[in-house]
Parts: sequence; C-alpha cells; structure tokens
Amino acid sequence: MSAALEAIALTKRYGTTPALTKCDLRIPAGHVVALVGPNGAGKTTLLHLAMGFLNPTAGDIKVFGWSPQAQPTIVLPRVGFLAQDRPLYRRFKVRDLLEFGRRLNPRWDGELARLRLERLAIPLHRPVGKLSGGQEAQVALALTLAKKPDMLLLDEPLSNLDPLARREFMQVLMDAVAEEGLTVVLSSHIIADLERTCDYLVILAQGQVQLAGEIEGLLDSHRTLVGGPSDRALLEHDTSVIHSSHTPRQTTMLVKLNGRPAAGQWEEHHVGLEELVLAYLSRPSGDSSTKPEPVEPAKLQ
Amino acid sequence: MIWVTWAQHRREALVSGIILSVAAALLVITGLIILADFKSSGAANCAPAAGPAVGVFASGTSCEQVLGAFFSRWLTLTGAAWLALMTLPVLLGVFIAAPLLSREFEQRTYLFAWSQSITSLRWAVVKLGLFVAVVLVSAAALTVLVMWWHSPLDLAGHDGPWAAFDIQGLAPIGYAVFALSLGTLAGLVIRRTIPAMALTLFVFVAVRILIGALVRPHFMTAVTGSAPDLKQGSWVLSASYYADAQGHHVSLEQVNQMVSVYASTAPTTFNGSAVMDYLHRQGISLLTDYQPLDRFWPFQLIEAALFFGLAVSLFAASLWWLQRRA
Amino acid sequence: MIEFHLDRMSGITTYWQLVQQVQHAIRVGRLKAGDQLPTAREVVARLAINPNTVLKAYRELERAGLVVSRPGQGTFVTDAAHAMPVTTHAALRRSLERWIRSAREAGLDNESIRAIVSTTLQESEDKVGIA
Repeated sequence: MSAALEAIALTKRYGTTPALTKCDLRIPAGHVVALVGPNGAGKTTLLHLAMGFLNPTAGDIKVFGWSPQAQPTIVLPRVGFLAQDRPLYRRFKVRDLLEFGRRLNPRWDGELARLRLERLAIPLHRPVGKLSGGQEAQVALALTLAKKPDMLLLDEPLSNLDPLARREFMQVLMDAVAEEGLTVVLSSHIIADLERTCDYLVILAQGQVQLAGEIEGLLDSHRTLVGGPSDRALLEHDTSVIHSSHTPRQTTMLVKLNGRPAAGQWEEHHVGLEELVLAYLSRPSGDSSTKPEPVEPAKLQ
Repeated sequence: MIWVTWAQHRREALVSGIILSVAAALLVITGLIILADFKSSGAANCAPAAGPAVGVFASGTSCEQVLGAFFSRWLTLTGAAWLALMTLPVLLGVFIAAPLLSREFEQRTYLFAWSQSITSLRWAVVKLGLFVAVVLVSAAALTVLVMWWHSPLDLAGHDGPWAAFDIQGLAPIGYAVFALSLGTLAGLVIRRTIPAMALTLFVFVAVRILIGALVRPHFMTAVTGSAPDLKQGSWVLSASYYADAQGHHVSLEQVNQMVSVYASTAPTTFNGSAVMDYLHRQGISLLTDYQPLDRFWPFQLIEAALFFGLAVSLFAASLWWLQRRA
Repeated sequence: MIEFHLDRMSGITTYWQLVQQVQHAIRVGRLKAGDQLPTAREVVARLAINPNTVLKAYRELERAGLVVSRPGQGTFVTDAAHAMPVTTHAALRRSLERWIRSAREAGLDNESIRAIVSTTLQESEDKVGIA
C-alpha cells in the first residue's frame, strides 16, 4: 500500500537558499501527523511541494504514489490544503466560496459543508472578511473537507485562534477523521495543541527530517535519565544521547534506548511529547547519526 | 472557472463598463454635433472634391478655407478626445492587468485557488482567455464608434485618417491586448502590485513611443512626390525640400539665388506659380516624403500585427513562467 | 452514559485516562452490565482527540474483559464486569490502614505517603509492561 506522503531525497532551494535538503520521509495513511519544527525549517515548503505548487530542485515527492507535479489532476482532488493564515477571498460571501468549490472540484459535498457551518451558526451570506478568526478557520476547514479528500495538509491551522476556536476547530477535524478515516498532516510549532490529537510525529529542522515515527513508539523508546556527574562518563560516547545538560551535582540526559537498558545507576523518567521534540530540536545541526527508522509498535489491526 | 473569474472581477467589470459607456456616450453626442456642423457649414460638400493639399504656396480656394475652418473649430475637442482614448489601453494595463495576477500572489489567495483541484495552468488560461475575449470585443466596438466619430475629420484634415491612426482602425485593439499581456506578465513575475503597475506603465509607453515614432514611418518605403501636388489624406513624413532632376537635394540658398536671378529678369508676372514654373524649367522641384492615403489600412494591419505578435509572445511567456514555477 | 473528561496536567496518557475512567465508573456502579459506551465519534467530537486513541482504549478494556464491541451496534459493558464486592474492598482497606499507621510512625507526612504510593504503582506497571 502506498504511503500517504513520501519524500525521496527531496531537495528544494529558493535560488541559493536551501529549504529542504535530501529529505526522506514515509508517512503511512490513516494517521494524524504532527509536523513540527522551528520557523524556516521547511514545513511550508514540504506541504507546498506535496500540493504541486512548487517543483523540487532534486529528489521526488509522492502523494499516495502519484507525483503532484506530473499528475496534478489525480493528486489535487484527493488532497485538501489549508495554507498558513487561511488566505481566502475575503470579499466573497461564505456561500460564494462554497459555489467556488463546487465548480472547481470534481467531488463536492456542499450540503455537508453547509450543515456544518449552520451548526456552528456561521452566516452564509456574510463576507468572509467580516467573520471572526475562529469562524474563518471553520469556513476554511469546511471548504477543505467538502471536496472529500483522502488526505488533509494543514499549514499552522491554529495560528491566531483563541483557545475556544482552536478547540472547536480540532473537534470538527477529529470528527471528520473519525467518520472518514482521513490522513491528516498538521504543521505547527505549538506542540501542546498537537499532543492529544496526533499519533504520528515528524520533526523537521534545518531542512532535514530529524525524527519520524508513531508517537507511542517514540515515547516508549526514549527516556530521561537523571544521575550524578560520575555516571556521565558511562554514556559520554553513546550515540543514542539526544540531549544532555549538566550541573556540578547532576547530569540529565534524554536518550533513545537501543533495546537495552541504560548502563549505570540512573533515575529513569518517561518522556513527554514536548520534551522529546525540544530535545531533538536543540541537537547541534548535522548530527543525524541517531536518526531512527520509523518506530511502530505491534498494531492490533 | 469562468464563473469564478467573473465572480472575482465583477467590480472591475462594472467600473470598466461604466467608463466605456461614458466614453461611448460622449463620442456619440460629440460625433453627432460634429457631423451636424460638417453638413451645415458646407464642409461636407467640399470634402469629396478636396484637391491638392495646402502646400507651401497656398492657393486658398474657398473649399480649402471652409475645410480648414471646420477642422480648426473642432481641434481642441478632438485633441482632448484623442488624449483620452490614448490613455484607455494604459488604464487597462496598469489598473486591470497588472493587479490581475499580482494580487493573487500578494494576498496568497493563489494557494486557495490552486488547491481547488485546478491546475495553475488551467486557472491562468481561463482567466486570461476570458479577459482577452472581453477586451477584444470592447476594443473593437469602441474603435468602430471612434471611426464613425472621426470620419468627418478624416475628410477635412490634411492628414486625413492618419491624424487619428492611434485611436481608430485595428491598432487600438492591438494596443489593448498588448497592455493586457504586459500587465499580466509583470504581475506574474514581480508578484507585487505597485511595482508591477509601474513597470507596465513604463514599458507600455516606451514601446508605443518607440514603434510609433521610429518604426511606423518605415513600415513601407516612403513615396517621394511633388509637394504642391500632394493629395489630401497623405501622411507627410518630412518637411518639403528642393531637389534637382536627378533627385539631389538643392539648398534653400541656391533656390533663393535662382529666384533672384529670375526676379532680375523682370518678368511680367511675378507670383508663386510663376516662380514655381520657372524653377520647373530649371529642373528644380519641391518634393516631400509621404505615405499615401491608400496605405492607411495596410499600415493599420502591420501595426496591429506587431502589437498582437508582442501580446501573444508575452502571454506565452506568462504561461511558461507559471509552469516553471509550479 | 458515561462522559469522559481529560486532565492534561496529570501526565497520564490520554488513552489510559479513558480506560481508568471506565474502570472507575464500573467499580462505583455508575456503569452497569449492558450499558453502552459513547461511540468513538461522540468522544472525539467532544474532546477533540485522535479517534485511534478512543479505539485503543476500548480495545484495552475489551482485552481486560470489561467491555465487548458488537459490530454495527457499539461497545457495551460486559456481564463479567462488576463492582468489586464490598468485602474485598474492606480487607484491602484494613491492610492499607495498617500500612498508613506504620508510615506515620516512621515520620512521613501525607505528601510523602502519596509520593511513595505513586512511584511504587508506576514501577509495578513498568514491570508488568503496560502502556
């Protein structure tokens, strides 16, 4: 079965500025994927390449096995996209945008979109520019879902939304995932938002994939170890150390267990998602020796 | 996509429609007034019989005076109208064509449009295609109106239809489509509206001046003929000059010397035509380089073809650029 | 019907919180045999969590014999699930009271007692290999 999104040695340069460098990625279908990384890491570039808005400088990108550049008529109807800051035609009324979508998309469920918006009490006759941020986000989401895609790519969809609007957005999104088995890729740099909704993680930094895998497996295979300074030497050259910090009395390290327990006397703590991401993001660049293969626990199908 | 383009540009269509309607109304009103004056002043009777144009030696027939008076009566109005009509393609290029694509990139709404299962190529082709169609039809309609409006002046003015070359015939349609293609390419490449508008303005005006002033006179080799015998409706390209039987230029001093010589012989009649006859006998004639009236439409075709050709290349460049990016 | 809630700050994974809440509800009698659990869609629409999380929690409960999922109908509490008999409770509580007395005699305050209970529980879970 084709991966939902696959990148093979994907490279993109804007002129001389590199955005993505030899990225390898294989996101399986049926997951809600958190795409995290600092600003300028290449998240938006990756999503734009997946939609065929840009051509790669080198390498390949495939969506469900198809090339978005070579076969846009196959890819575009299957993937919904929400760009950063939700650029909609603000002068248009909501129902105009629904008409817009109806005319340009081969698969379109306008009734469902209308129902969703009515349930949220969003007036269809109002120009989009006059809606609140949360309402605008719901309109954009409804439009994206109405084309009945197999995958959604959302570029920082929760930015500039108040907590209630964020919650309502995720409710609608998760409900759609539950109903239709969508694959979703959400990019964000606010990890707390993603923690309870995503089950797959991709960390992008400095134009490279730093980590990718099912969140459960990743959290299982990493630990925070706390010990005295004398224990430091035992793990000093262990390439599975992701991040470490030292005080004269204490050494704290976030490590990836390579199937065996850590040598020495350590206090072991479980790692949270945010901790994990921060540790990988604060690694010095170029250190991809600990890049693990995607970790998947035994799945009960 | 056609509905989408219309929905997006409803406002511009409305404003343009109003401007064109106002222009058309003004043309109709002023045209009728001019036509009425043409008939009532007797210029209409003179016009078909208008013989040689006024040369260096004006022969001052009453028809010449009537036509001349008619023409200068409407000079200010026609001058203003000419100016206004000349700016229409500029307005099209700067205010409609340049923002057409640049705004989509500036406001990033292209990301929304392109994620609606429509390829960027189809999006651009339909948008541009629709605009080209509307511009062609409107420009053609307006130009037909202008030709009707200017027809009395074609008959009355020395230069005939050449005086309004830029605003009648086929050329204005070419200018309009060229402005459209230039604006959209600028907007597409620059992706910022204000700089795209500025570039469109600058390049459009530069190209028009270059072609109009430097290239157009040479579309076909100019005809050299006797200045006094010049027919009405010719486009004079140079000042008149004296030349001998071999066609070599003769300077004004030499001619004046010869006239003095003639004067010293104390002829019985010493007027303009007598002097001209004397010079003719010496093999000297007053010549001018011009394009005759029957070349007006061929020149229109060439000018239009030139601008259509430019437009087609620019549209092709736009589509190529879009494909390269996407 | 049970209504789930999530405690973000507890440090316990989402799916385990759902499992615990069902177990607790059964234990105190709020959920009885034959009661239906909310559908995955209902839970997701309220809590905005990943549907797989709900499915995983329900699978875990099914594995423990507390619920059974009937395709096309929903997930229901089994007959095998029952509130713990009061007697078993009582025996456990008496031994706990004895332990607490010893802890107090050793000088531990309430917070230290709670800390010992949590870490010991956590370690025992790790050993069994849950989560």
